[in-house]
Amino acid sequence: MTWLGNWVRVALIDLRGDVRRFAILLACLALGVGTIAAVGSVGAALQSAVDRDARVILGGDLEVRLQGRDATPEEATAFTALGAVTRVVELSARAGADGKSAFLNLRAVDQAYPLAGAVETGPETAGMPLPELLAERDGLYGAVLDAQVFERLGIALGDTLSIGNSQFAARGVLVALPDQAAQGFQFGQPALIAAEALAGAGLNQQGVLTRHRYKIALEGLDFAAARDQLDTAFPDAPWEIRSPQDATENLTRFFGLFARFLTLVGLSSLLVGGVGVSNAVSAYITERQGAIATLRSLGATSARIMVHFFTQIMVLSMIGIALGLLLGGASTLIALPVLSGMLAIELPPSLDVASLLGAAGFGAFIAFAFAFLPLRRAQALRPAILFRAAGGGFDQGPGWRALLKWRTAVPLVLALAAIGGLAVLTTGQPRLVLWYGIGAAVAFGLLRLAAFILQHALRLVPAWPSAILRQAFKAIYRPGAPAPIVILSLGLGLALLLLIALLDGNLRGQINGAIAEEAPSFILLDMKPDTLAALESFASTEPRIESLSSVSMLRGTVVSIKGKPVAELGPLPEDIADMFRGDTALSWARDLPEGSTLADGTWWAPDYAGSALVSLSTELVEPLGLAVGDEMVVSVLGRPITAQIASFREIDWRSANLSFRILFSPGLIEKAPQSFMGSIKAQKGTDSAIESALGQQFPTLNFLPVGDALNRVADILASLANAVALVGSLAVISGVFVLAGAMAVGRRQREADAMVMKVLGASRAGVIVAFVVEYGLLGLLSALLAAALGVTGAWAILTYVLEIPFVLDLPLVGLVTLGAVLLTILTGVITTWSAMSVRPARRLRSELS
Amino acid sequence: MTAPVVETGSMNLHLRSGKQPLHILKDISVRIEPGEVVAVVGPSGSGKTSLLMVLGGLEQATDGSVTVAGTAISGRNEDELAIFRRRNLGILFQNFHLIASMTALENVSLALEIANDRMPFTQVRDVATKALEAVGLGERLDHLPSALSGGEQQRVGLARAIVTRPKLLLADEPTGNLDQDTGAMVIDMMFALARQNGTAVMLITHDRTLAARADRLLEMNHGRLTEIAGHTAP
Repeated sequence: MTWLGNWVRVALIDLRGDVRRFAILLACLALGVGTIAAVGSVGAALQSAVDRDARVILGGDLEVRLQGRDATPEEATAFTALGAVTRVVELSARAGADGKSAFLNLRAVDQAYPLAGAVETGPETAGMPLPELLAERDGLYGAVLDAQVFERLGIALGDTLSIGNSQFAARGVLVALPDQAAQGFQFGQPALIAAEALAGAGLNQQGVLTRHRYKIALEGLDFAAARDQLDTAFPDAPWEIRSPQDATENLTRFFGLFARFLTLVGLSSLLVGGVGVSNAVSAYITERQGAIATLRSLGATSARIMVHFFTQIMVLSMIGIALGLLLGGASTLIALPVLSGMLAIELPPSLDVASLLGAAGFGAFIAFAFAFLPLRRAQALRPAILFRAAGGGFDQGPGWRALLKWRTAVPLVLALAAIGGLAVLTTGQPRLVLWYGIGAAVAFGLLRLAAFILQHALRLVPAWPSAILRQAFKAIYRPGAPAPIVILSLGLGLALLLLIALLDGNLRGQINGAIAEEAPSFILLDMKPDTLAALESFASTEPRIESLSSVSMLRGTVVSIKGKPVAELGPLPEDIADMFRGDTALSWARDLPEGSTLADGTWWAPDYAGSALVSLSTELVEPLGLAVGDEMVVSVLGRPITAQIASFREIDWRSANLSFRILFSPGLIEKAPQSFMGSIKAQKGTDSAIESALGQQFPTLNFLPVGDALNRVADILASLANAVALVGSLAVISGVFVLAGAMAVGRRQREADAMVMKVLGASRAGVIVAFVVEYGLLGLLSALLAAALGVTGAWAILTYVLEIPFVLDLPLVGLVTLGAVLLTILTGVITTWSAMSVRPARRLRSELS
Repeated sequence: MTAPVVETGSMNLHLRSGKQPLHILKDISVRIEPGEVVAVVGPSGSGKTSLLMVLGGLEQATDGSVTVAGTAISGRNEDELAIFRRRNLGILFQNFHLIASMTALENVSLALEIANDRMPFTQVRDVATKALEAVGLGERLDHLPSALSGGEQQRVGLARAIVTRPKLLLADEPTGNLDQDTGAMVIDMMFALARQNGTAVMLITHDRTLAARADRLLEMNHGRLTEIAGHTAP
């Protein structure tokens, strides 16, 4: 193999020279690989954190959840037989101090809490055991409270506050709970008190919604065996038994969304980077035509030419990949601590070797796949060009027929299969990869077709009277014109930019617009008619309250559906099953409520007074197999009511309008004693003040400050959207490099053209105008196609991958399109201007030598 | 009688310029003996360079026979022609065509390595060094082409063309980009080295004075090659 070593050595010697000519190739690969490496490493860190912390997130090996009641002594004995047990009672409560109030997500814990992980408190109490902080001292139990509670109540450590009917001493600042991440959406600020303090505070009473959780550290049994043992011993127990994997299900889904997002950005970045690689290698091969022909004239075979330039491109690619891995590694190490803080999950700075290897693999396959065609062109170059002028035009490649030759097709197909396989392996989402691949292929095809049509159409156009226009149009369709590659590169880069911008905009709109603008600040529960009247009077004089809406509410028990008792309905999704585990909220209405749309059936007349009809949420249709006309029996105040399903409603739960899954027709239950439910929308930034005012003026009013909770979720999602936008911007930078690369490919020809025109006496302004027209037209066509591709791609991804409604931001599309046209013209003009600045004599002499 | 280095029989070359067919070389029959120096003169566009390209396997004759160094080169593919060139030919270009990223020594070594990729590297360097010393560039081995004058670049080109001891040296206007004195020096070296190695030379030139130094003088006119009678070698 000495000969191969010699070939490679000569190739490496030939790499000497100005490394700036490889800047675009290196940048495209480094950015693509860096993005993939960072995306993979962050995703792996999140997944391994979830896997590692699953037991901590659940707070044990098994959790038994009961709603509204404690375990019976027999049940508690059965739990204890399985291993160490801790009991947590969770409820909503209001804390008060000096006339200020704060809403708490209160947990009353026993001495064994937590079984897994640790409660983290502020530096003042670091290292102090939790039972000591919560214990009764000087007649007061302790409370460990979130920092925001201290702020809202205006208290300090050691101060007294009221929770329910009792006074507590604020003994610690709660920094983190080991099982916080599994709690999901929570109303109120987290707070801990001792279990013994709960009864004294009068909170554990009839009517207060409490959730009782028994977390068990199993001894000698695995989860499945323990669950079976409990279910066999207590077949009718109304509990839910959860495993550590169940606890992390929401987190996994949440991270999955994030990971899908990043995967799409990574794939896009690679795709665009690949075009950049192709352009850069094409430019390099065009520049080295003379050297290739010389090698051929000296007797180098096509195999040697391939080895020579393949070695060079692969060495450069390895450098680009190494730079990308450094970039991706550094980004990961910076991102993980930030994400750790945002998601309340421990993410130690670490690099995932598999992700880095995967990114390197992607880089190598992409470099090969996109460099292969230009390399094949180098192989096919004939040495005759040393004797005949070949011109500086951009060679468009071997043409589609060459792709049918097995020597070209087989390596390409293998490389593309390797990229697809690697994408499936790293994302675990073959459908996403497949559709993305199809989308990319369609985008490629459309852009090439558009270039073809433009060139042929311009050829057919009769000669324009303006010489400048004739010049500009001819420059687009003449042989060797860079138009196809400019349209492809610019179109793909722009489509990607639009895709990211539209995804980002839609997500932000969903988070900020839908939640922050429409959602209520407070939900008011179980109001008597007199309380509602007083509240309406208060709201009318309180300018910070934007709106108060109310709706009557009853409680009822669903007895049977389609003649089948609810106990026999079989396994149901958790939120639906909850409806049948006791009382559920329901109401009646004359008109279709705002925020609801009729999905099936008909709405009753406002003055309807016939037999009971019911309208249900569409969420119930599939799990229960319901259809219009089915019957259900609901017990209201002990009286069973048989009602026929008249319609199904699509309810927008994000809307400020309150709604119920079960709505009766008027005439029957409207006269039953009922309470009211309401919502208040407060002015932005006044939630805390309104909460205090409500607490002071309506001490018995039961309300939930949902604005805070929604804002917390919105903050996290907005931070994630920022992270996505940041990663997306890397892909966009790739796009800009690709555009620069495409311009570099055509630069040699532009310089030559400019020189000839200058020699012929054309003014600089005239030449520039011709280029402005040429590049303006190319930019406009690319931008229009990119707009169509970007919008379609964003719609498909939002609708089918992220499952979020798509909103078309026309001004954004217009802005990006206009910006793209201007950018293309500007880049074209700048490169042409520099070409026009060269004195013809100097250029002509350099051409000769 | 030894076998000729070049022998063509009724060779024609047709090319297309757009849709226009062009008959570039017409019924060319020429024979060059080993070690013989033949100059081809003629006006621009007469077909001189095309003849050189056909003999170098860089262009395929449309019909007729072309045998160079005992190899019939018509109908061969690019790789076969490349192997043919590395074994039998040296080419000297008007524009030098040195690889810009390689030093003088590396440029000359490249020809040797392509001709014999199993030759040990130390031997390659020794032979290439001697070739450069033979053209007076022993002190400029490690200079890149950009650091050499036009005459020096052409001498590197000459060393590269003859380092493999080819049977035929094709020289296309080798003095076209050089001043008269430098051109004369390069031609002296070329003739001397060719004769020393027994290499046949086909020199394409406009310069009648240079051409007069050849053993034989041919004239190309409108694609037809004729021998200039009465020419005597110096």
